[in-house]
Amino acid sequence: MSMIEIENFRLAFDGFEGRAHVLDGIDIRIEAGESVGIVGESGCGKSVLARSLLRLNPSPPARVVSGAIRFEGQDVLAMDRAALRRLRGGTIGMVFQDPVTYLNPVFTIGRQMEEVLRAHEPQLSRAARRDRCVELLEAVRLPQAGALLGRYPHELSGGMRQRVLIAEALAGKPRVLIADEPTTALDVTIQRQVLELIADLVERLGLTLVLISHDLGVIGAVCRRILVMYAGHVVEDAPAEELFRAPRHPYTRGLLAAMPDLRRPGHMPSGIPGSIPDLRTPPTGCRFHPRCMMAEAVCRATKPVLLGGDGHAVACHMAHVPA
Amino acid sequence: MLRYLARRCAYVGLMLAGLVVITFVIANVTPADPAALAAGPDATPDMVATLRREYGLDRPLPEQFIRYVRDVAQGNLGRSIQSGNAVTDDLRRYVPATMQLVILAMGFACAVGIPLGMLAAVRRQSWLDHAIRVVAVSGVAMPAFWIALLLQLVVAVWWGWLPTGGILSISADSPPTITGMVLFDALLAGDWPVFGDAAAHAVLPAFVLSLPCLASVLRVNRTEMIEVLGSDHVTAARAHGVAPGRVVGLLALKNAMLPTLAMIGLRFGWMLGSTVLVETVFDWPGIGLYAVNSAIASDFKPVMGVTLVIGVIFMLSNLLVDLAYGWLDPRTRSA
Amino acid sequence: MSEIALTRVGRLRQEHAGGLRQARFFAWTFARSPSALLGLALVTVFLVLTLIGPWIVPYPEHARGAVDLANRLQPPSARYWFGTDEMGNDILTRVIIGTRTSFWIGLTITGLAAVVGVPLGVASGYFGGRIRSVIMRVTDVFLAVPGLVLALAIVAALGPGILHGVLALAIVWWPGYVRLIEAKALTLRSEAYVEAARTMGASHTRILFRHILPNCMGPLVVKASMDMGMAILAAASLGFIGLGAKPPAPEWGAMIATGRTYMPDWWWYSAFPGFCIFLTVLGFNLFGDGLRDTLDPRSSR
Repeated sequence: MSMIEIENFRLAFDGFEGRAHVLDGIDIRIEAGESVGIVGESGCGKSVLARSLLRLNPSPPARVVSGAIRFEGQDVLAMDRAALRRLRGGTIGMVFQDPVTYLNPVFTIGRQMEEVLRAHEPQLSRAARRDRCVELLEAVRLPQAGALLGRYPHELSGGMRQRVLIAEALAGKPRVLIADEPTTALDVTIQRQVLELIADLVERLGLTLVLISHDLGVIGAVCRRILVMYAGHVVEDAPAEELFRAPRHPYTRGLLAAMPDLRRPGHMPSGIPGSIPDLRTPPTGCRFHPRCMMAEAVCRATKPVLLGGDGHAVACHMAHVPA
Repeated sequence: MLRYLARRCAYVGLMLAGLVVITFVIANVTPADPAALAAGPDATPDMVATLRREYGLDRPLPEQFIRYVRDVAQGNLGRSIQSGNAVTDDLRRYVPATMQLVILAMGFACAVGIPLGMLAAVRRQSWLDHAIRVVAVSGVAMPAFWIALLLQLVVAVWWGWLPTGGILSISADSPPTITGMVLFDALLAGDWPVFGDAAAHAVLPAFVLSLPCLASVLRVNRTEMIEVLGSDHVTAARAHGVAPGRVVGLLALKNAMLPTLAMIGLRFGWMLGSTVLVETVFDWPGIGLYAVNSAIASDFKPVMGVTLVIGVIFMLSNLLVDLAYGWLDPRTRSA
Repeated sequence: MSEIALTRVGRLRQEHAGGLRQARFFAWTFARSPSALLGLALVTVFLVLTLIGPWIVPYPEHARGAVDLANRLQPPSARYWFGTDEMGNDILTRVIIGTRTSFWIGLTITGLAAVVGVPLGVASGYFGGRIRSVIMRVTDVFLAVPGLVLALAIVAALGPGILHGVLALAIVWWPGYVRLIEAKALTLRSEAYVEAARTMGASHTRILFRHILPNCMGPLVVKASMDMGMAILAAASLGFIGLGAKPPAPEWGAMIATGRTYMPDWWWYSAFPGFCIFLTVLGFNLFGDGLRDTLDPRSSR
């Protein structure tokens, strides 16, 4: 039994103009202690997937069509309210993308963090809560933590706010940390600091990490295992080194080729032709086939399954064909 | 924060000055001759002329204005032709009655509107959307004097549950004057019979007065709560495991209160204006009724006095709302 | 592919295809809201009555104030749906005639207020600086006193009467338009396309008429729709206290005032006209609300 098991998970969004099939049969197993990265373009469903782990997708538009999500054997989708609350923040902590909007603007940092602590450790006295907040802020390397408690989010810089978000995510002493695009909204120099912080915390606290990003560079810096998502599917699942060295899915190859390489100045990265499909009317068979160089008739007809015995799985009919 | 306060106070001072100017302009735009009116229908031209000199109406306009400003600053708002009293004395008698109504109405509107708005936001359904919208718009669209008449008819006359008008029964003794507001004075003095009587008289007028405010507050709070509940920081709070009760009632509500507060401030002004109508229907001895009776009799000084007083009250309430805004939303403090 | 000759209509349709599509989209969005449709229905009824009211009233002679004392103060019945007043006139007839009065009252107040307020607002928002300071200060002073009270003061000074009432209310109403348009013009001024026009040397007049004003139309129309209702309500309120239209003018507020003296026994005299005021104001408010959502849908709907 893996720590996190996602089994044939299908999720759709019922919108204005039809139903978008955002997640179409996701199968993932994550063991305790792993550092997994999920990479993909905007709109591929990686954030939706992460939120599904905590049932954070608002339920009228979002609808679970089929499948299961289990955490340490427990069915997350069927959990009662109380168990779900304990899971959220207490077992699985989540860091979000844009600290500007993810922090409550009308409450001080200290107050917001205290609310989280109150939810998970209600027995703490006010003084103890305050001390714990200071502890958490120091753990994320924020200077003058005591003074920071009385500040408001808009008084902090982007990097500082993101650290506060991380501190909040860890307040409930979770064992899993999901980081959804934690560096996307930050300046490049700060990005690196925050990534290092996350990597350090994961190691020190022995956390299981799920890092989500559209930036392969970010993922590659921290994660040991990478899952590549495209249009609601996992198309490749491999250890990081192998993925970079020998990618098997055409999309992954395209992604790698699209990364600018500083070692080859003047070399223009190549893009992937076409654009992501409209998920209300997704392509038949393999969802990538309209943009794929190697597409054949079978790709249009049948959906490929994630296969691979040697720890490197890929969902592609043409996987055996050399690049 | 203090600088913010100082700036706002200075602005209010400016507005007050403007208000004084406007009341002066209005009073002097009248085609009627105030001296002739004050003298009465049987006055001879000589008497009218004397009065005109006495009122300083034969002086040039700028001089009249300075005289007016000086008078207002000293608290002299003239004399009412109808009652014969100094306007300030009349106002002193009538303002507490109006304030009592307004406080009750505002309190009721918020006490009911805010929680109901929160509840409606949490239980979100599309038919409720439209139902609340119609209710809210109705509350504003309803002519206060019409609903007042209907309630008076049905509740007071047909069913006899409540009195038809007035602030106290004729037989009841007035409680000792502490605030000047009969209901609260009775409460503070522990005079329960009078308190009950005053309360019974206050129910209908306060309720009618509260309706537009209640409807608007309900609607705005619901809309804002819905928006805030969909915001990222609420999602984050949920993701961190904060209890739903606290997410809605504390973290979300404080954000939603900002526009709600603005609406309360707006509707307060409306409410002050509606006292004119409600007091007329219920014979409530407040400044609204005072103004109406004076206006019909072409008795200007009281009308101007009431206009000034209501203007000042409204300005103060706006100042309070601004301050509350600054307190609720730390971002405005730095602005 | 051979060229198909387009008829004139066809060509027009093609030229304005974008606008037509947008208009259809607006209509579709508007129609999805039951409350907005209700508002539209009520406003339509109101306008129809305004137009053809005098020709469809059940008792045309009562419209002109005929006296029929034998039938005075009759309760609502099949003959007189709203009952009769103290002159024996059918109240339904009088109410329908009153629709016209209300219409021109509302239109005049809103029209005057907009005609004064919009230019001032545009000037204030677009030019900013000193002009804005002055205009904003003045409007703030007017807005410092609740509308009905200020109108009462003005009418007290001018003397009662429907014209004075309308004038007073217009004076009370124009600051609202200044505020609205000023806010909009201010945001528009810093829009990219306005800046682009400036850098290309467009004159202020051109920018004002081509870019600023058209984009202010949306909020303006919404406000004007809702103000129609509120202005009618305010005028009726003045009429009720005796400072607006004087009886026997067929103004709803005045009718209710007269009817009040016949309460509680002949309650229908005040009840029905009041109900009509309510429906009218409700209609305009719901309609304006619906318009607002159509022209500027918020995500929280």
